[in-house]
Amino acid sequence: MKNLETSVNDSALVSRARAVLESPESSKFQITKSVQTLEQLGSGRRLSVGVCSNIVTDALGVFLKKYGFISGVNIDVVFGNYDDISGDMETFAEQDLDYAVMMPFFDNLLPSFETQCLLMSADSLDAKKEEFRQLCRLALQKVHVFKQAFIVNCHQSSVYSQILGQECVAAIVGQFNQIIHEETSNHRNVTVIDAGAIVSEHGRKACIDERFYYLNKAPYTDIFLDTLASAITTATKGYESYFKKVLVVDCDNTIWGGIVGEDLVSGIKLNPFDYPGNVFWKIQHDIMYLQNNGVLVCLASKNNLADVDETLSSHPNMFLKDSALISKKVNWIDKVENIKALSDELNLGLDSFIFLDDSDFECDSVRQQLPMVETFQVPKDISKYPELMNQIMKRFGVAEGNDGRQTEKYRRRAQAMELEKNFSTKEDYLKSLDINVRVFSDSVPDIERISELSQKTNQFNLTGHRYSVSDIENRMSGNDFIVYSIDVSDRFGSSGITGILIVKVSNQIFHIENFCMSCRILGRGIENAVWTAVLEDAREYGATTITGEYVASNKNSQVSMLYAELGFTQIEGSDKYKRRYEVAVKDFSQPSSEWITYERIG
Amino acid sequence: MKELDESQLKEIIAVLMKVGIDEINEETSMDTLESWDSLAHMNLVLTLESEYGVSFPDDDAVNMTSYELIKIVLGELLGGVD
Repeated sequence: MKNLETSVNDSALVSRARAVLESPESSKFQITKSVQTLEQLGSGRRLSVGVCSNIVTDALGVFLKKYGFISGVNIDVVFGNYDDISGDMETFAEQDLDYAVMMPFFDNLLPSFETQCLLMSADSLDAKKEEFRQLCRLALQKVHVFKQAFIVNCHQSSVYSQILGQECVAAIVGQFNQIIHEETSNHRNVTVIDAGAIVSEHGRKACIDERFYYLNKAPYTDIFLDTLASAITTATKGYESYFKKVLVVDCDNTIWGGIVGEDLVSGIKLNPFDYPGNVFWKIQHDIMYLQNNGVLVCLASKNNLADVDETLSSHPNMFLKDSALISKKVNWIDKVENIKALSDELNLGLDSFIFLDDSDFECDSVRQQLPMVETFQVPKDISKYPELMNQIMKRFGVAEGNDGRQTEKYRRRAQAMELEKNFSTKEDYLKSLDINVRVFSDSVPDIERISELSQKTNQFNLTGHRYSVSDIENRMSGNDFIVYSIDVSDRFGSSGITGILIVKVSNQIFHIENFCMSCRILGRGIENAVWTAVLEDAREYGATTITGEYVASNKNSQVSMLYAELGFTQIEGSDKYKRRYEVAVKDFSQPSSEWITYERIG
Repeated sequence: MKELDESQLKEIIAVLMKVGIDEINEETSMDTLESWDSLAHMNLVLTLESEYGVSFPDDDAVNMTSYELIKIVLGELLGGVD
């Protein structure tokens, strides 16, 4: 009895929470709360989505979950590291995630790139483009393992570039998007999402939050992320919760204006220039676009077949071609019967059908008798018809602006380029970056930056030991500490001091008090380069042993095995949350990163 | 002038930090709650802004990292300056 009560309560909670998610009036807080409720109740089938970006996009999670639950799916959202799109995509593939979303944010490809790109030399810009192409290529290497993957393309985001340098910045953004198109065209399961379209739909101010862009590298507002999550859900057909394949359309007042049996072929309204003919003309293009994207288009019309055939073949503005129609039911039989006949003919279930008609009577009778068919009625205000068509296109999971022929063109071009140049391994790619690592010891001018790094770094931080400016000063001035700082640059410029390693020297023991690296340079083997310096010094000081420590926090699990991977052995007696390691100096061989050039300074 | 409803504020913080509402009190801050990291904080600021229809100045948005401080900053924004 108790169980029954609980489940009744649960189902009431589920439907209440889903109603909140479905209502456009719900606030972010209400959405968050409802998502949590549904997660706790374990409602819906489980799927996973990986999101990777060169900006912070964690707020997308709640919106992906929102639309997931609306489609009856409980989505596990996995976020990658900061600015490691190709590495993340590899990890997502290994983790067997169902879907992946890549979000390269243009303005952060280099710091304030929209401003920088206008001042860069043509050579540097070309080099950056080439790097971006390789990034896309690497990120897409294992993309075939996902059910579907998405790449949110580049767009302008800063106020200056939109008003002042619009032409130039727009042109450069366009070149980067061209690269995205070329690189994705070989991958059938990759869909490009036009972020620029989202920004222009809502306006830049509503989509970009400058405050959190500058503070936390999190530029997108809830409005943008909500729309993006909705677009992803559309493109996955509600995470495969429905499947639409057939579009059945009426003729009169649906694919042309007027009634051909009365107005004759010359009297129907269909042309590119005047209302309402221009609306129907556009609708025909949309239908052809669906047809190009694999939708089966059929006619169901109460008319004389000869009239319809004549219109299809001889009307000068007829864009919908007879050859594009998979079947025509032009007769005086009931539409319900015609749709059933189509279902048999095509051997497709009625739930994969969408029916479009202008008549109240026809729409009602199909809705009543064939509720599994999704019925859309042409609006009485014809100017609202394109908006309705947009809804229909979404149900087919077809994204606008992804033209079939264009795709073919890109595909051929991409194949040609593939032959020209391809980095077969990540190592080749890394070599092309010309990474240079400089390791400083006790570098006084960097004291503030070193302290700051120790305060800010959470993920790659072995012990969580934080240092104030005076802590660092004391360690540098004394004899029993060495403070290493690591500066990284590549052919696109310098990243500055991005890593620190602090050693305490005592009794022939080199003890690593802490080791931190900024997450924006991970995934390039840079963390390996510092060991050359440590080893040199250990020998010079006559140390026999190097010791290190891993203290678990809730954010640093990615480095939990660092010392073990370096060949250190775990010292007995240490527990899971605080592990001590050691290695003999004579046995320690530092890992190599051949693609990195290394300099020792100071 | 809108009165600040503390139980509502506590609920918002609790939901966003994924803890029980009992865990939110005058002592709660970024230092006492593990889940209150910089991302959760950003999310909290945005949620408070949309729930209360206010906009926090940069400095407050960054610094109001405890229940007490949020209460003070929100109270001022909702009640106007004395």
